[in-house]
Amino acid sequence: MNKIIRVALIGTPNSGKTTIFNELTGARQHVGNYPGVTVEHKSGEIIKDGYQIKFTDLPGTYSLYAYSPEEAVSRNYLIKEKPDIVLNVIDSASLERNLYLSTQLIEMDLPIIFVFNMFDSLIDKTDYDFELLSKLLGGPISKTIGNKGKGIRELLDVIIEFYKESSLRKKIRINYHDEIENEIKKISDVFSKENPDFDFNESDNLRWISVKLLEQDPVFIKEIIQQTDELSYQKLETQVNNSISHINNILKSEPLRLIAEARYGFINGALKEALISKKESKESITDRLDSILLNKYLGLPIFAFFMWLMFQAVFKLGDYPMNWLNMFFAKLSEWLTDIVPSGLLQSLLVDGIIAGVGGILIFTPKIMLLFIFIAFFEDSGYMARAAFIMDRIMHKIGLHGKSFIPMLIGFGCTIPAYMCARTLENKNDRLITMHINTFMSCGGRLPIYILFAGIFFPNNAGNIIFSIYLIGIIFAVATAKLLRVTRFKGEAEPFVMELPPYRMPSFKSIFIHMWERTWQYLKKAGTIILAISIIMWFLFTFPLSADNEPSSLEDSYAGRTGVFISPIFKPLGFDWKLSLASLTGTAGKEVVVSTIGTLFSLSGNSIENNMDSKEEKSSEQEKVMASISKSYHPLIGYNFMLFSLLYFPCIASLVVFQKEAGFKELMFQIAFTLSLAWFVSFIVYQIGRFFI
Amino acid sequence: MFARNLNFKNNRRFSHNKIIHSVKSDVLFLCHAEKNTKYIVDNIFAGHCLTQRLLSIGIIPGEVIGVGDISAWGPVTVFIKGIKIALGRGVAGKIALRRIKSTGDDK
Repeated sequence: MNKIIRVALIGTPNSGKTTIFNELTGARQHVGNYPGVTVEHKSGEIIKDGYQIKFTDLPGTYSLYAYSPEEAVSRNYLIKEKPDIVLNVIDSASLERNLYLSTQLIEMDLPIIFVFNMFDSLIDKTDYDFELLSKLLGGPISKTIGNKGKGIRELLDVIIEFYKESSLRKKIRINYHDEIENEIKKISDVFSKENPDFDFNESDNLRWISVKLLEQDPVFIKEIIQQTDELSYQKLETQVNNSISHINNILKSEPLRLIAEARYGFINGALKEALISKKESKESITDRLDSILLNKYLGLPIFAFFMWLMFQAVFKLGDYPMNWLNMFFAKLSEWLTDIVPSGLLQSLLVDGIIAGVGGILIFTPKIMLLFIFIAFFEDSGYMARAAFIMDRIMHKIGLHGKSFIPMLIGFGCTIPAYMCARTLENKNDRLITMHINTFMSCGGRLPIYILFAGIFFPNNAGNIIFSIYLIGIIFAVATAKLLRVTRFKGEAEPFVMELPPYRMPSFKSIFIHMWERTWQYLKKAGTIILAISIIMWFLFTFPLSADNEPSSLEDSYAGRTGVFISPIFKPLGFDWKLSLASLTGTAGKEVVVSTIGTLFSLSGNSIENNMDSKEEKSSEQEKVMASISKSYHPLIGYNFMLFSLLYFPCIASLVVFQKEAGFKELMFQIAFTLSLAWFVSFIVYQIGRFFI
Repeated sequence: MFARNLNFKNNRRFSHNKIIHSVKSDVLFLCHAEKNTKYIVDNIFAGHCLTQRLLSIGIIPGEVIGVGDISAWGPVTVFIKGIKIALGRGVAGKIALRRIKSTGDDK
């Protein structure tokens, strides 16, 4: 049986940690050039030389201070899981800054292998005696170029050798000022005396615990409070307080700063000692690009241009593959109609599954294009610049520049947008960003807009859709302001963000990233939407009439439900059909279109299958669209778009919302968006009807 | 409880006293710095968490910091330890710098 080696990967954001993880395990995971791409730890494993090596990719973190959820996840994993080996991935281009995290790992006395990634960028600038540096840091150094797959095999050999040979591991101590050392000793003594049952109360960790207490790490202190009795903690508190005051008085600075300075001192010392030669760096391409892209006059217009380009490409370029898919599903329906005898099975396949799921799948190319652009921006390093440019505007609405990124992703799909909000360190910022993300028109709502704007405002469809997007943004801004002064009071998180060097993203990385997100969309189409389509078909078709034929629409279960809930929607101008469509839209906004399609035509494919290819519209579909047009006034059409914009995106997104923000916030999200959608539509209809 | 008792109030008072001492000398805040100029970090006058974050990304007293793009509003870019960092204006207002020429005690 293979021996198991548990290896954790840790490193600062942009150190190429995830690339190394992918190369080691072959796992399909996003490689980002934007801080905080890995928000959960992911694992993969390989078997080599009789060893089963299990890798865990921890979120990127600058320190182990637990400032953000990522840092807390990483630290807790290291403390509680106690991996056999820690791979500390380091960006060789900025050794000094990257080694700061290493000093904290050294202090925790972990078995570390230092992976100097992007090694090619280091040898261009500086040369070190790596054997000496390895001795100074207390662990082997492995050199890799992750995006080219170089040094990975050697790294695996180092892992196995390091696991077998405990002599390769050296205990290194980072020395602080004598006064701090004395206080560390005192705190350690009190701690070991008062907390014998503490989780990581091992003699090796006592020094680290004392340093953390002197640093006043709030999350760490909270953990200690939870695990110690009140009397012990009071004694400890008194000692820590005394130690801090003593250090403040003698050294005229806080322990937090002095400890950080000592860590950098250790790094500088080690690097200086191992330095062989250093070349002067010239102005980089990044600096030259930033002088244009971050220019105070040009930055915003260039960014706006990129966004315009993205949406143009998605909507214009995406039309072609969308039409091809359209034709494919139309042909598939025809073929199924030919080979399957007419009856319930044919109706289920054609009217239920193809109309429902096919109607969603045709949007896949557009979603893929959107994710390709977003992946390119992230991996190239431009996304961090976008946050920088937007910070001045976002700050005005009480949000962080980084909030803009989930909002942007929200135009594609709200699910990854909710997950991306994790990159915000401050809980209030994160929750506000998630709540307002609902108003960013996701890809699922677009079919509704295309359908209704096309039917009611054929000459101004583009402007009408743009107005809906804009209204969404206005509501997002207003809600952010409102939440900031009511539920989530306080200042927005200070903006501190690394602007990584521009890098040409690899095709593989963009493809992996795009595919992961598209897959989520496809999974939704294949699971929730497929199920809903079948349920909807059942509700539309049953109960069967006396002669075993599908019942008329009004008599069907769906019709009855629509009629039952229609009083709620009547003040908004919606009849039972629109009421029912809104209800089914909770399963996914895309379903609204297929429901309306089914409601207005149960024969052949639903209308959305051809709504984008005007030339190919069959006379029957024109009839359906004309029937919708005749049934409602344009005001109701517009109001329905507004209503669809404002209530929560879909059940799948709510599941993610609950996971990320908790049950209480989920309830608020549902109640807030539903009531807002109702009130806004109510006001628009009630005022608008005076003019019609 | 513990965290509250222990630190934050004391630390803030401590930092505030330092501001009064520091401002009289050749010190300016990052938000008032000149574009494309190098300075030395003199002090950080921020709360506990922000101070920790700044220290961990390399903004430590005594370190040479290059100010990149700076405008009347919006974030500021700085170069430190070979990396480029964007700092919000509020953050920039909490980092005190010393001019390299006038101080004469560069590290």
